[in-house]
Amino acid sequence: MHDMSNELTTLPKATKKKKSSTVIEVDDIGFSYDHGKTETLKGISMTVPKNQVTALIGPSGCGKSTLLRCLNRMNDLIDTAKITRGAIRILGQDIHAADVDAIELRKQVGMVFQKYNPFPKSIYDNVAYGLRIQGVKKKSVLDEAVERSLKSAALWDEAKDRLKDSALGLSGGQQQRLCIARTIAVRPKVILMDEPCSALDPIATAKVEELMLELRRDFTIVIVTHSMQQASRISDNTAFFYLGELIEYGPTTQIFTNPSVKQTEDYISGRFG
Amino acid sequence: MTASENPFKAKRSWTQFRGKLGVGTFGAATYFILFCAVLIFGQIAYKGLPTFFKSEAPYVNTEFFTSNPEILRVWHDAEGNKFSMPDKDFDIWREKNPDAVILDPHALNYSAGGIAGPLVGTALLVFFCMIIALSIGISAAIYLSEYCGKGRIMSLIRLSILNLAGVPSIVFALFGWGIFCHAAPVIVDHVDERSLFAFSIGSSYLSFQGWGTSLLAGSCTLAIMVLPVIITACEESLRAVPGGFREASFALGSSQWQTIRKAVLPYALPGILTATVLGITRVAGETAPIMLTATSTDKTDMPMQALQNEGVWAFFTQSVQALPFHIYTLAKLPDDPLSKPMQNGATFAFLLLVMGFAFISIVLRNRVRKKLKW
Amino acid sequence: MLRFRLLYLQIPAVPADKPTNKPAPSFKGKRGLRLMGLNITTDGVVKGFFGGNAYLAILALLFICVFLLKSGLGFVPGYRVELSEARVSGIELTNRVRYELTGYKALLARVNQAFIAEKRHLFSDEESAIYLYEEFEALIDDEFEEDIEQYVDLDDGAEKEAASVKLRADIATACSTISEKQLLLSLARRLPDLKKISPEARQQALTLAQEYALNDAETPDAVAAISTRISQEMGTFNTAIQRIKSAGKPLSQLEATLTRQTEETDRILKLNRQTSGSILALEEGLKKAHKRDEPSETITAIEDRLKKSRGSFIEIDTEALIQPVYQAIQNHDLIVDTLVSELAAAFDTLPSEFENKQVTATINEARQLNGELAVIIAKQKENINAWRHDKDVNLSNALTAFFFGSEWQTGSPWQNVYGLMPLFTGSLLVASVSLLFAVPLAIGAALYVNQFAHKREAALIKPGIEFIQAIPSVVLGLFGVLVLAGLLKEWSHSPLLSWIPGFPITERLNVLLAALLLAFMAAPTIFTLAEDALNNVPKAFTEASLAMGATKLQTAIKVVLPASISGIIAAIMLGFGRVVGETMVVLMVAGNKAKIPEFSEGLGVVGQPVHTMTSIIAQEYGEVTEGSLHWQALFMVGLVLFTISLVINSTCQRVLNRKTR
Repeated sequence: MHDMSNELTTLPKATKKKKSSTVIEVDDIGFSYDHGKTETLKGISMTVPKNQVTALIGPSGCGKSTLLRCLNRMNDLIDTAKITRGAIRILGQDIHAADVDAIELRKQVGMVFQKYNPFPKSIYDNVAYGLRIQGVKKKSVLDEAVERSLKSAALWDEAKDRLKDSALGLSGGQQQRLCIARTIAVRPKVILMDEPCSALDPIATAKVEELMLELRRDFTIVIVTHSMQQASRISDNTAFFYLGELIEYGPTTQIFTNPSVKQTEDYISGRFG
Repeated sequence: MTASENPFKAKRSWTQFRGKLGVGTFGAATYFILFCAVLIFGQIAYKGLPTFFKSEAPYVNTEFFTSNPEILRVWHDAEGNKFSMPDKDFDIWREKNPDAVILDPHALNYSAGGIAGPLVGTALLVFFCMIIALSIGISAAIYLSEYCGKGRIMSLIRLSILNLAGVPSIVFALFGWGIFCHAAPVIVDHVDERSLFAFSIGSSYLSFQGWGTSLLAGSCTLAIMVLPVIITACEESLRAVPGGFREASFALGSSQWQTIRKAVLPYALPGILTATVLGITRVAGETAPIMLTATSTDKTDMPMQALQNEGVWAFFTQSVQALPFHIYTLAKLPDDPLSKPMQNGATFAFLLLVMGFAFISIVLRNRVRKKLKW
Repeated sequence: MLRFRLLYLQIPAVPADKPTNKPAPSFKGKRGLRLMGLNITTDGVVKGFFGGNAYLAILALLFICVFLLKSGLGFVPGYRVELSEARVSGIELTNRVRYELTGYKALLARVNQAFIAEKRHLFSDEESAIYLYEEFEALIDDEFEEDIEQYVDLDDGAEKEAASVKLRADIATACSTISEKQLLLSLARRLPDLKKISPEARQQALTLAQEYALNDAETPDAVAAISTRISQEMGTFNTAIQRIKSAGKPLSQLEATLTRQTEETDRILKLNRQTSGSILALEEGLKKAHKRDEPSETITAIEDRLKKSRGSFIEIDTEALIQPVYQAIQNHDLIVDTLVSELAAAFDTLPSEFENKQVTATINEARQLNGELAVIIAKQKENINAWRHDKDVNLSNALTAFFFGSEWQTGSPWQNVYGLMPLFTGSLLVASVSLLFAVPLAIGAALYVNQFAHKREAALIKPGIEFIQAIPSVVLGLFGVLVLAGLLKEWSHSPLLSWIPGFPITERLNVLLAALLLAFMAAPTIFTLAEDALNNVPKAFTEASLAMGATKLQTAIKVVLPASISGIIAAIMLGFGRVVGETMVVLMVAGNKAKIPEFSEGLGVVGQPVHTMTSIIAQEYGEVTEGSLHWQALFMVGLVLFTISLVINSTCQRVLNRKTR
């Protein structure tokens, strides 16, 4: 991957990659919010390749966010939610297996939310939070991790003089990048992003997008987005969902230029949704 | 990769253990509180239930609920056997057995009879208090939620109501005792010495000498005490009625009062009912205010007798018995096993009464909250 | 109605194209009833009515403030008068001497206790033998009078010998028929601690009784001998206790002299104050009578009474009245110095260890009291020497005496003292101890219900805990008095729990008992408010933390709790307010002893009885006369409570409002 770094910086547009290994493997997954009465996801199968950005698109209520939240088992927190069939494998491991700890899973599959949600603590404490809950106490380690993460999130220059200030004093875009920094501080394998730019203005959005392309080098990213333009700008692969089903999945260029299914074409060209 | 190298295996069992321990501790705290409640309730019920029933038909101890507290006469006969009997039965028994040997006779106050007087007294206090509190409270709530906006005076009013809600009941008691018992105006023929001042009107005087320890003073004190609760709860339920209802009504040309009457109040009614029951729960359980303003230990007859014999005003200005105060009196009795049935029975009856209202209020509130999601 | 409709129907339809000559619609409001230049409409009246009721709340608050202030603040000048009278008459000075005397008396009581305990310990057999003998003696007097007479009449010889044997045997049989239980009951008054009568004591008593019978009902010398032996054996202790007793005599005498003197002065002063009051009133009345031209009989009647009152008014020379007091107090220094040195000497003669541990403990307590007494005396000596009867008492003195006074004593024939401190510390102590129990439980429960419990579980727990809130305080109080008090005392004596400070508890009703019950009352309040505060924390925080791989516990402790901390503090404060304002429970179970608790005992202070601001009102309202100083004092206490609750409430409201914004 390292040989591609130069290319990436000069070429923000997604490019075809050499064969890369699969990180996430979704196999015929079915999901229900109400004890299995109605299925929100109806048998989704797809694979997410390593160190690429994979975008999930589709109209509201199509199940894309649900799938995303299945990937780090955030849906476990809903009492009535239930996986009805199939399996999800991350790094080859079935994440619903008995010996998988959801907490350990979430440490390695980070998540960035739609609405930026830094804790009401200082910037430093926010970024250090993940490490601290893992039991890291040494100040030098924390300092180093905070600096590295803030730099990776392109926030270091703006925040280095005010690390002890409350995170809630930052602007919206900065707060969202802080959330990203917080997520990458624990070096997860995968980062899930749930419409990370929907609450941001265009300038902040551009910065976050730029950041995602940067992060692709080190992380595998799955992003849910409402904006087709965003998907086409940043993602390597795109999956189109409709009513709980995966309609089409392929390289972004192909989905946007030459979709094989009519529904996809309609959606992308704005005829519905 | 194979499943054997599970990367998401639970690693540090210490964190997990600590997590379980923490949750367990918090859970234990929760259930400890509930356990204490069950223990106390169970203890009182276990001790009190025998007083409610008796061994022969009709099995329910009706006398306990229908007669006034009485003195229990206790004595020994020549053989050392212990006897006990309510005061009124004792006189009859004595007439029938004039030769019976009575040794070591003594009397236990309030240890016989029942709780009818205190029950009626509490009911009257609660009833009149709620009449006063509801008529003022609902109007105030309507004004606060329907007529006025968010001005400074309004926030001042709200702040006073909230502050009033936190004032200890003994302060209300003191206030009611000073105002209603000792300084409220009353029309009398002869001005009492303790009157603050008096005007003459015709042949009688309007004298500020208070109503004394009385049903009226007690009801007013309780009403002032419960007012903040009622206002807050009623305002909440009025505000829960969607603004759209009002707008729709105004758009049809209704006046404000018509809107309130037709489009707001009917929908707020369940909430107001809940507030009422909540208020009753509060009031029925209070002891200190009625102790200072309404009850006296030497009251023995039923309140209705005053109504029959002396008229309405005498009815309102008589002191009454009340269940919580009765329990307080019972608690101060000397420790004698023969006093226990009354102590335990009255306590359990009172607990059941208040808990019953509390139960209704919680059920009603939950139902209203569920329904109010328009 | 019907008519109108018919009329309307008869109106011919207006052709559509024809311009209508209907009047333009008017948007003017309905004219209401015009009254005094005001346009009164139904809506206006209704609004006014509702508004008036709303303002009633403010009015009530204001009224309560004004009323409490009016009733309470009259207390300060009143108390000033009382205090200055106490000073002029010398009561204040006498109180200081009394204070010393109280310290001495407490010490003496301890020494006495120790003395009796030691005597019982060393000579329980001998003592019980003597008392038993007295029991037997009564029996012999009843039953063997004739036998004894017969026996005495016999001449010396074998016959008498035989009769003596028979008499002895008869007496032994008669005495042995009395059961041990019966004997214990008869001795209970004199030897309350006696649990068992030893066979030796019984034997000895029997011997003495037989002696008594054979000596023609003369008390045998052996009885006196035993008493003498006891007092000899107790020699050192006896001397010491006599010395301690006699050391206090001069102080008691001084106190008695001062009391007599100052009481008389006080009586005269009070009488004069009354007389001058009635003179003023009569003068006023006379003026009014003149103005109103009342009949001359009335005026002369008033004048007569005025003359009489003026006649009974005595010109008092306070200087002369106070002189004997100054004279008596001159010896004070000498008396207390001797007392201190005598006491020290007496304690020196006592051994530091006794065979009986309890005696050692009691004597040690007495020694400690002796040390405290020396400190008290040193301080009072200064106070007494600096005392002047003509120093002015001003309002701030009276205020200080109320707020910082360490004594609340009412209903005494001597002087009522109104010091808030015992009540204030009592309230504070009970409230803080109860929060110590309630806060961890309530916050723990709130965290559990809000963060960890399943929805259905929470839906059961929440109403359950709210239910507790409705338990009437008087019921809890009764439960405390009848059940928990006994249990607590029993547990506190269990050796397993002896490590808890303050255990074993000697007082049945105490701070700990009240605090436990109040904790039970405060916990639901704190729980509900804290749960609300936790609920207000945005779900996004929780989600973010969980998505980072934090456990639920870590999320709860590190994210949710800090984010809701202000709301939780407000919940705790409101819980505190509720506990401070609670009346019935503390009235029934806190012990009602108006004395500042002994904080020197450390945490053991929770075993002491206290009085609180709320319970003093509930306890004493019945014994005050309207408008008296005592009445005003109660209102002052109410005012303090009111202020506390207002401060707590408004602070919390501010915190909570900021949170919801």
